Amino acid sequence: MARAQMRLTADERAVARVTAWIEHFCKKHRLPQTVSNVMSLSLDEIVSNIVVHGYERQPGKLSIALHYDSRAFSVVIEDGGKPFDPSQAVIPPTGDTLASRREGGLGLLLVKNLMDDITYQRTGEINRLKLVKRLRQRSRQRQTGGGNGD
Amino acid sequence: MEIETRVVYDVLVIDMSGRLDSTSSGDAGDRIMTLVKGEHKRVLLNLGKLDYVSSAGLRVILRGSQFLQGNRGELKICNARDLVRNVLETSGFHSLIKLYDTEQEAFAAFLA
Repeated sequence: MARAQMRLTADERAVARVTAWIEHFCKKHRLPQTVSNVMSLSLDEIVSNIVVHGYERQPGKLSIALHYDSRAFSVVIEDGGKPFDPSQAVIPPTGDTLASRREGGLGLLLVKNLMDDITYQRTGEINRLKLVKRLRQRSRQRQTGGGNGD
Repeated sequence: MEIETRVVYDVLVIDMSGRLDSTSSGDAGDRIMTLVKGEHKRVLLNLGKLDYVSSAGLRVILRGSQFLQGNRGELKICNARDLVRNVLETSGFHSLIKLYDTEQEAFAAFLA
């Protein structure tokens, strides 16, 4: 089991700092590369949204807490930007044609598909978003010949 | 993020390597749009050395592909690995843009 927390300013450099930090955490705790990739990508998308939409590119407070054990990897992201619930956001239909496919919502579509659980709470002026990625258990993986299908 | 180009069988091959994320997508997007507005209407993105793509990177690919389609051209993708392939499939791009495992398969499809 391991925990880590980071507080930083949500600005244009935040995404690069956060993704480098979580990738270092995953390497240090010898998590599989696939887990590192999906956690990093999900944080990339969520932090980008907070910087661009939540704080409208003005510097703001951001806090990220990581927790991992043998069953799951969870990330809690807190910010004081505009209220926004990614778990309820409308995502673009994937059946569109190339010409009609819009650019918006792609990041949240990725996060929703890559994570197993997304919960949002607004407490006072704070957005609190929790992302959970369940980890495959090796003994179970051998029995079923696969995991939870990511 | 690095972008290199070559021409094979009249197809413009764009080799992308590194990370196509929110930090690199501005410059990469400008470069890709300049390339797709050039003389070649058939463009192949070889993502064999691309380690990472976020939604900002997907938008770069989407814009290039839509521009080409609107100008009687086509963009195809080959050699996408691991996370990149997963992201392309998760976002539904594989039903909008043709993905091939190898360059040879993509060339064959262009020439068919």
